[in-house]
Amino acid sequence: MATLVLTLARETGWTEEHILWKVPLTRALQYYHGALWYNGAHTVAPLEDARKVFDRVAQLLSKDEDLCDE
Amino acid sequence: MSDREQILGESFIESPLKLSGFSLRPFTAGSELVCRQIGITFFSDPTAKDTLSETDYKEQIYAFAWAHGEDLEKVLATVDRGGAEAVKAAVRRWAFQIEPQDISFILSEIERIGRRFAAASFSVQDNGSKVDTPGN
Repeated sequence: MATLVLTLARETGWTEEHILWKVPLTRALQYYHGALWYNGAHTVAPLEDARKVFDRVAQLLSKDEDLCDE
Repeated sequence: MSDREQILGESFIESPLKLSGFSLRPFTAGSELVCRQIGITFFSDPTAKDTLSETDYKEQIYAFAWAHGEDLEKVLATVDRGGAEAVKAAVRRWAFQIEPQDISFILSEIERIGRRFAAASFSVQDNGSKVDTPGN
């Protein structure tokens, strides 16, 4: 997390507060990815773990019909 | 444009979710930390799929809404100094303002965050460079 905040602060001039609490994480990750790529890092996307997280959320949402009816 | 590019693009036109009595702040790097601190496992624990009871599931939805709908300073003070019981009490008090119809919107928001998070995630690989690259 510190690396993400430090990288975005250095590349954009944004404050820590802005990065932590204002910028949506999915946008911050894209900026971070861009900054790493721009500085020569080799990246691959998306992570297999991230797919599992998405599957997990989708699975949870599929059992919520009763909850929505309350 | 691939599905992934479409999803990544969506995050640039994101707006706060307005519900009946409150609106939810965006899911940020800071709120991801808060979610971990208060035990929300939607985004951090893909292996726990069989361990979440319906009660825990419901509590996590309310806790997520509280963490993003309550005043940020109050959230941080409660999480930082109050401990788990104080968070639970604050979530219970705050959750009274959640209308039944809000739940489906909150769930949709959680699903949307998960989809965007998956699309935006990446891994740094060793490219033989002598420059050390950070993890993520």
